[in-house]
Amino acid sequence: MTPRRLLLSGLFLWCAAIAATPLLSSLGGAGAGAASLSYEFFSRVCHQLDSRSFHIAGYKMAVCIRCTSIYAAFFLSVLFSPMLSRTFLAAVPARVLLIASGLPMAVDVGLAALGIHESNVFTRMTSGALFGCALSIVLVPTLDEVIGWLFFRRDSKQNWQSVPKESLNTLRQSG
Amino acid sequence: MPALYGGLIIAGISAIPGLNLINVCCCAGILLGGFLAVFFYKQEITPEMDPLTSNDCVRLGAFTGVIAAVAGTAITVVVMLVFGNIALEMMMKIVHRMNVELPPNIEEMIDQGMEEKISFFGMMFSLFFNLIVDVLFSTLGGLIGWAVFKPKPQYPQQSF
Repeated sequence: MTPRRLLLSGLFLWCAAIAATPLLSSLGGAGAGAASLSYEFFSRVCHQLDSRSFHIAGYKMAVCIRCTSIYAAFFLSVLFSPMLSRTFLAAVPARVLLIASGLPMAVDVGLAALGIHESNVFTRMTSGALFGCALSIVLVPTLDEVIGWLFFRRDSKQNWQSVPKESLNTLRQSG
Repeated sequence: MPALYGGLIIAGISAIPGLNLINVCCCAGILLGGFLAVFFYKQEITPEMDPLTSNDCVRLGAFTGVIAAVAGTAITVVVMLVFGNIALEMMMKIVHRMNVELPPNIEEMIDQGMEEKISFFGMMFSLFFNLIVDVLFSTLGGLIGWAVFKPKPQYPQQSF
């Protein structure tokens, strides 16, 4: 296990929860109960409007199309990060990348809220995916470092070793 | 103090009706709070102090999230007790302006939600979920702050 794999596992679980929620709803009973908890949790991060969400088995996903695209793009970008690191994007300053990728989304949301332009599935998906990719390029190197600091340590050959729980507190106390 | 400022900004954005619509854009308000906490902290760093590190940003983001969750829940409870569920009313106005048609049963549920009063259990439930979401996204906001404000490296950066 490496920090990158732990990050990918967490992202996969997050995306899987979003996609599994409508499936749980369709099961009924305890599944529907679990799904309602999931909808409640994700309501903190998304408006969850039915008409602006993908549907699986007749039920909406836990977040809207735009949010789904952001999370899916973030996950896929982390998965394919070795390829992305060879592109010119890795050299672009973080603030430029964030502003450039966030602008289409801000314009799409802003114009829709003002009633000037009706955003559609394509604009939501592409603007969300663009932002998710850019966010992964900006955050992944730091996330690797932070997860490594929290849960791992390097051995003499600079390979990641997961830290046993009893050692974790000792390491943190020693800084 | 930077975490306090960031946390209060998040709490204000999350709890004040109208402003909390920012958070429907994937918690943009919470990310902003974490980002601003790092920005405020960076303003306080003097040349005699240690430079900003990614660990500082993670801690700042996490503390900001905790403050935001507690303060936001408290402000939400006060607003609901004094003004009722006007956040939901404002959300519905925007939904109607955007010509989004809601199924009748959903409209009925929303009307019921607008009439409901806040309960202690509901408040605790809300606080628990807010803690998870606010800490997570505020920490991400702190990491975005690190990516933007980190000192320029003296050596070639490792590619990811």
